[in-house]
Amino acid sequence: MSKLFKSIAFGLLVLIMIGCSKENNSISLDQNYLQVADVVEYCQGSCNETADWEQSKTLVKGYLRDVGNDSVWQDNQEKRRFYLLDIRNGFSLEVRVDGDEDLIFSRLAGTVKSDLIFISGIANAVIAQEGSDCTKGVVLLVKNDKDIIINLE
Amino acid sequence: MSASSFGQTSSFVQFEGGFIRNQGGFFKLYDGVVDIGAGYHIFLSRHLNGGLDFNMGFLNYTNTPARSNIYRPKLSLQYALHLSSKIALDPEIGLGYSFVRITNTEYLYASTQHGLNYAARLKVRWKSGRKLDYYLFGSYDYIYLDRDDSFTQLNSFRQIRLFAVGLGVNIKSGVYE
Repeated sequence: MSKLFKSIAFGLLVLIMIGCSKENNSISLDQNYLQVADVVEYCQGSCNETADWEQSKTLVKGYLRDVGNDSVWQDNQEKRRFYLLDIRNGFSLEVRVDGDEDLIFSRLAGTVKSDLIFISGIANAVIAQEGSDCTKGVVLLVKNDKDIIINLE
Repeated sequence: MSASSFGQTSSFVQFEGGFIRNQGGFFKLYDGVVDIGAGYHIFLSRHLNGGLDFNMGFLNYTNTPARSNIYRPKLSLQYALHLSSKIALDPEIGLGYSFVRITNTEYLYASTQHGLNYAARLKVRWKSGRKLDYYLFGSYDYIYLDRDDSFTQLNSFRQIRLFAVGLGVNIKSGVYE
């Protein structure tokens, strides 16, 4: 009887080890609209190397952050940027507008908090240097208002 | 004195509560709040017992309405190392299937993900010699969520690692040590 339970215990340990070894991450950025958290987590890397996602077409969906906060939106518009939020876990992605600025911001101004925004853009690397620590993150560049879809209208 | 020598089954019910922490992954911005659990175990021999455990872990994302509740039913095997007449160490391993409920009331969002749960824990138990034994526990849960591309396409986000520490009580019946 105890031999049986030792076997079960050994089996469980093997399962734990198999489970803990599943680490590979690989996604296609331009096939389907990805969640904000997936894009932010995937698009990181070393400052010394060029990552495969840099300058790639990227499809992402999320909710507009700071909706209803007029002063933040005015600041965003002046800086030609806004943020997409993943409401499930708080990750957010900076989107920089490099094109139809007036059209894009006027469309976004007509949205409400619960609108799901779909964006097609280009993943651009940004470097954050703090002392000797260097980290690479991502911002999304968007040019045309047609690259933004609200609630898949 | 073994349970089998009496020809009857010893068992215990356990209740516990403590703090839970998440390590990295999808919930890296969340804070752990509390973990509560209960279980029923039957002694298979003097040292070995097995049973069903059910734990619930509550995580929240500070200053937002985002919440995550993690329900972790599992079958487990526990080995009792009797260090002295008063103290026992109870290492335990478990295998279960967990459910992760994520909500954000501000956006009327709710989603449930699920997957296999591997668990390991250690209890330091004070043997009272009476009906109740009290213990300290530390536990580690590794959950590997089933694939759902609409939830995430990242393998690293399908892996949830939880640590919990807390206090519990065993309520024993039958023959026990």
